[in-house]
Amino acid sequence: MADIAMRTAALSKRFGGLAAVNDVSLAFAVGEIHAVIGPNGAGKSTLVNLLSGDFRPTSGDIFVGDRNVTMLAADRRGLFGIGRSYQKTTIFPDATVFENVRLAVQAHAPSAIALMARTAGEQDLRMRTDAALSTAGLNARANVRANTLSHGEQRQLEIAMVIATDPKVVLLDEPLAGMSGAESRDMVELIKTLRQGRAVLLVEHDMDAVFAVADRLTVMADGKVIASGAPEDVRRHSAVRAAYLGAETLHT
Amino acid sequence: MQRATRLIVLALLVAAIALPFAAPTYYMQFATKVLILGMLAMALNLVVGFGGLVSVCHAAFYGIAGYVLAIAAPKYEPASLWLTLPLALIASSAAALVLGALSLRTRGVYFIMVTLAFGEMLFYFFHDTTFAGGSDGAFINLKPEAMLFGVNVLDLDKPRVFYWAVLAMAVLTILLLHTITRAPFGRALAAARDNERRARSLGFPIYRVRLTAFVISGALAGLAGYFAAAQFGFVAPEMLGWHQSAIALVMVVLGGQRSVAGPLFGAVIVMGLEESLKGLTEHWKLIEGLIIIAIVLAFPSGLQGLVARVLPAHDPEKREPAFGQDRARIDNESDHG
Repeated sequence: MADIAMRTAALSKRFGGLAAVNDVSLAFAVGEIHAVIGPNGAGKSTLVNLLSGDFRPTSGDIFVGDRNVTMLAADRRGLFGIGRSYQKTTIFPDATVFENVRLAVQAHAPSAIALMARTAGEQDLRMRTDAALSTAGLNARANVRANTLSHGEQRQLEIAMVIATDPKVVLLDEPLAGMSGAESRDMVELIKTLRQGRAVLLVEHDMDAVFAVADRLTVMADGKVIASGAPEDVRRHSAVRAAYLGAETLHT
Repeated sequence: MQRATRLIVLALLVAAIALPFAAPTYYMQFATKVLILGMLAMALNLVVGFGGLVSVCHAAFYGIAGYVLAIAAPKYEPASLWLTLPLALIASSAAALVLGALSLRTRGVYFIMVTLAFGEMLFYFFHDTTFAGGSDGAFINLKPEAMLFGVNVLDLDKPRVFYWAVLAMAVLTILLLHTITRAPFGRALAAARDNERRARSLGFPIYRVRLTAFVISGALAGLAGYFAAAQFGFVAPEMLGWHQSAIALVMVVLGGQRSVAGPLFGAVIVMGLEESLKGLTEHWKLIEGLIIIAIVLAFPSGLQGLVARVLPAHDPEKREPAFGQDRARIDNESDHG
């Protein structure tokens, strides 16, 4: 088995009486895109929020490598190699594309919150920002304000920011939501490239996209994992058919 | 900086330095007062404009520094500037550290309320106890002196020298704020203002960044307060009250929150209005209020800018288009940090 970048052990999150995530134990391997699917309210987004540190679990543990990160806050987890995109695009709308990506690079630089700008440090940030922009194919848009980008470009920018922090684990919460067909295809290609040297968790409703990119598939319902394994095996799983995937979806 | 901007800044600076040669003592002292309140407003703006956090307790840091001078000054001798100024700055910073550490755990309207409450607590401490003269305040009989090898190098008794000293402090404040707002620190602070959740998930220690800004801002407010107390030779609890904080906030709003020196011009507007209306009618505050409202209405971007910058700080997702409805409930839970 490949390197496990991140795993959860009996992870649970309760909101009052609702067990949004219930006893979830999953492993995310380097080089794999691990898709998590399930009907609305299955707990997918809550799981992502638990892994990113936006939520504190009620019980259970989260490990990055050997390190238990359960009690680390979101900013510490960011520094620890967990990057994420949000279901609603979460960028700095008034800043330019360049400034957005530079913030991502800066957050992980030694000068992250330095009170004085040093020429060498600033130059280093600029170079690494330019490199991250080329990787994401956003060079031409560098000086455009982020809120004037199209929705698809904003998502692309958000993922460029995540990659710029050089994470070990990338959490993508419905990256295709609200995208046009062409935008979706570009995004799927971008997502495929992310698995190189990283573990990727993908929460997505678009089943065509999920089956096109997923190396591993987990199905959740009512906060629990009801099936997990190779996409083709999960597809045939009877519990999954009953709980979530309609027969029509299976034959497409 | 562009060439034209440079020239304007240089011209303003030369005019400010030359003012004592042209203006009568009364107006020089008035200009000193404007500079001091402008320093308070610029200090406040680091938190309000650049940090997106509306603090209503900055008069407390301003007042504490003034009280430190009043308490530390001997009755019949001048206090040493070298001793009392650092002491005043340490006291304001320490107060800002404690108040900031507690109030920065809240967001938005709650932050406003908590800072207001802390400010008023300090006001009533000085007002209702007999400490340092209680509600009567305390006098500083002699201006602080700056002795160097037995010579007072800064004779603050001379209004002209006092003015230049305050001008130097105001320039220093601008340079310091200019440096840190353009440094990685300033970018991180603005990032937290524009999208707290994204800034945090990128790895910025938001709380630490904001607390640092709050303490620097409190220290600079203290710098202004020290010179205010030295100029008037008197401190009273009103110096710490929310009314004083609100005036500084008005200066920030009028002057513009995205620029370092903007609030200084806000101070010029507010103090200029006060000074020119006072002589005309005893109801000058009413007219001043109406004019300020008119200014804000005429330049709505100033006020809008404040609102737009303040609201995202406590709900970073409000401004963004909503995609996907099924997580609304969970979203609400997510701002626990």
